[in-house]
Parts: sequence; structure tokens; C-alpha cells
Amino acid sequence: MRRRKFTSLFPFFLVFIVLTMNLSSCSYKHYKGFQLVSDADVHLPVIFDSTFNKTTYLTTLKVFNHELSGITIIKKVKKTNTFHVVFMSQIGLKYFDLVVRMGKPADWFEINYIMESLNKEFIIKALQTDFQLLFAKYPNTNELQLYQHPESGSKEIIVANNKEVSSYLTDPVTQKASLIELRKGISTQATISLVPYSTNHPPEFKINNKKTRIQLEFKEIKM
Amino acid sequence: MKIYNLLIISLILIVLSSFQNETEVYHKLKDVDSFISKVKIYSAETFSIKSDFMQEKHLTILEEVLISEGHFTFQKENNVLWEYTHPIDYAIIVYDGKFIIRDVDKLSEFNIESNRMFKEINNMIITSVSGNFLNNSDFEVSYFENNDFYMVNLIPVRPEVKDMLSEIEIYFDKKDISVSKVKFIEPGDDFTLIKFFNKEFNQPIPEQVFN
Repeated sequence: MRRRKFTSLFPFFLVFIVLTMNLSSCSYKHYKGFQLVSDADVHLPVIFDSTFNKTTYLTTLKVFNHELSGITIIKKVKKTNTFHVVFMSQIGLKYFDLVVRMGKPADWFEINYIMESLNKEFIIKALQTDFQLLFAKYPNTNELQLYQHPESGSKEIIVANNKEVSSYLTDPVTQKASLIELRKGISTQATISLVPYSTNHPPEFKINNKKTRIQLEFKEIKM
Repeated sequence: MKIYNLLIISLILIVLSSFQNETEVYHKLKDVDSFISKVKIYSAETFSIKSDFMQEKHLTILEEVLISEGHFTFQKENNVLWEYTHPIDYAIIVYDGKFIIRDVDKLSEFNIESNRMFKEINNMIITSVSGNFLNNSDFEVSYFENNDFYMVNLIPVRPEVKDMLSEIEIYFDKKDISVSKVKFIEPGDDFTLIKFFNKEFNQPIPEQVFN
């Protein structure tokens, strides 16, 4: 008798589990101790601001057990509103050369060149996710939520974009982003951690694409 | 009077630029055999090379050229040290069949045979600096010259090299047949130009240089 009751309730139980999972994936779990600040004038921090022109970084790319090191040039092309990213070895051979545009007239990602050994769909997809997150510009229509830690003053700004949610943790002193996290459902796609900075671009940052386990580290150098 | 001055300046500039073009223009080398004999003699007589180098990276997206500097060491048969001192401390060491990268204090060792990319890079380095392009089926070779240099143009045949480089140009100084410049041209017209200077030949090179 008891067995029969459970069997008849099982479909309802299943629907309940699916609904619970679905609801929990829609809500973003913000950092511990942070409290929602309502009616605040919220602006998303921009990593490479509008005055940025170009810079060079010492770069390490880790893919599974392989490591490539070299120099990355990031240049803003104002005419086309694009960022041009070239990562090459110390002896000058290019690993990849890509173009990203976030915002007007439309988001754009293009690989001009990628070395044969890196020319894999999952690597290209990871590079697209990572650099679109780095140069992200969300439409003004996107709703922003601000959370703040009452003691440290650190802020977390959350923005939803289609099925993805991005979280920007800001430095209480500079108000620049110190950690960016991109989530899809309950899984973290990629994170960007930045050392505190007050200039128009970060001197040091790390990108960790958790989905594909690809890591990129950047340290600015003067050529 | 102003127009007269302007005309004179323009004339001087035209003469200077035509003179520069004349020295930079390369013609097809007629006596290839004679050049090959000279390279063979140079190659047979050269056991080691020590040199400073300046590397220019020309990218179509940048107006300015990215400059790196360092020291280069070659020891017969296949031992090579590329030591960058500016803008960063970095070295590529090819020694005893191993490919070692020293990035500041961190050492990474690779087996050349097990890594196709390093193997190709190593082959290109050795080919470029040792004149080892003779009878090398990996490249289509053509020969040029001007007043100061012989220029050997190498077009890669193998797809794995073609993917990285469309051409390699090796410039031999006519005075001593040593390699003065190497230009690595990539698909899409970006290129790397490495200029060698303060060259020393056949000086003893201690083994620890590569360790």
C-alpha cells in the first residue's frame, strides 16, 4: 500500500526537484555578508576605459598540461570600436590574433590567425568567452543589482545578460573591478581577477576559463 | 626664393631616396654556384658564433615597431642559445637534443622530437643561422643580391611550417658571408626581423653557457 502511494507521488516529486533546480539557477548567489542596496545609482566598472589606446603584457597561456609564454599586445581601434589582441612568442611567432567588439554597432568576435596546435573549437570558444568578458559592455537596458559589504565597503554589481549572469566585485578604494565572474545556470564559466589599479587599464590580471581549464596570465611590460 | 629653396630640398630628397632604393633593391643572383661554394666554405670553417642581436616585430595593427635585444650563441652542430635581455629576461636553449626555455628563473625542458612545434622552431633557427638550407627539401630556395648582401629566400614546403611562416629571408654580408639579418614573414604580412651585430667567430664556448 505504502509502495503504491510513493509510486503515484513520484512524478510530482520529480517536477518539484526540476522546478527547484530551475529557480535556484536563475537566482545569483552573491558574496557572503553583502547586502542588497536598493535605489542606488549603479554603474558597471569598465576594465579598459574609453581613454585606453594600447599596451603590452607578458603572457602565459596554460592549456591542460601545456604552457606557452610570450607577449600580448592589446590595442583599441577607435575607428571600428574594436579591441585587437595579438599573443605571440618571444621570438615573434604569433600564437593567435583576434578582434573583439563589445557594443555598437554589434558585438563581434573574429580570429584573424590561430596557430594550428591551438586551432581547436573548445579553445576558440574559450577565448571568445574570456575576451568578451574582459571587454564587456552591457546595454543600458540591462538591469543591475548592487550588493555592498557593510564593513569593508566592497561592492558587488550583478548584471544579467540572456542566460548568463556576470558579477563584478569592486575594490573599496579604487572602485575598479577586482574580480569578475561569469555564470551560466549554476556553473561558473570564467573568472577574471585583477590586481588593484587606478589607471585606464589593468597592469596585471588573470583569466581562468573554468569550463575548459584554460588559464591566461597578463603582466604589463614596457617595450 | 621660397619656391626655389623648396625645389632644391625636393631634388635632394629625390636623389637620396633613389640612392637608398638602389642599395635596397635585390636582383636575381646570377652565379648561384659561386655563392653556394662560399657558404659551404664559411659553414665548414665556422664552429661557433657569438653575437648581439636586435629583434624588430612589425605588426600591421601597430604603427611602431616592438624591439627586443639580447645575445646569440651558436655552437656546431646544433647547440643554440637565444638570450633576451630586453624587455625581459628570457632564453631559448637548444642543447643536446633538448629544448629548454628559461623564463626569468623558471626552467622548462622539452624533448625536441616529441614536440612538433619546438622541432619546427629549432629547425628554422638552425637553418637560418648556420646556412643549412643547402639540400634542404623543407624549403623552396631562391637567391638574390644587392651591393651589400646576398639574400636567400626560403618558402616552406611542409604544411606545419607554412601555417606559421610564409617566407624566411636570410641576409648574408658580402664581406664575410656571415648571416647579418633574418626575416621571418608570417601569413598576413606581419614579420620579425632579427639583426646580428658585434659578431665573433670560432671563439671557444664553455659548455655551461648552455646549462
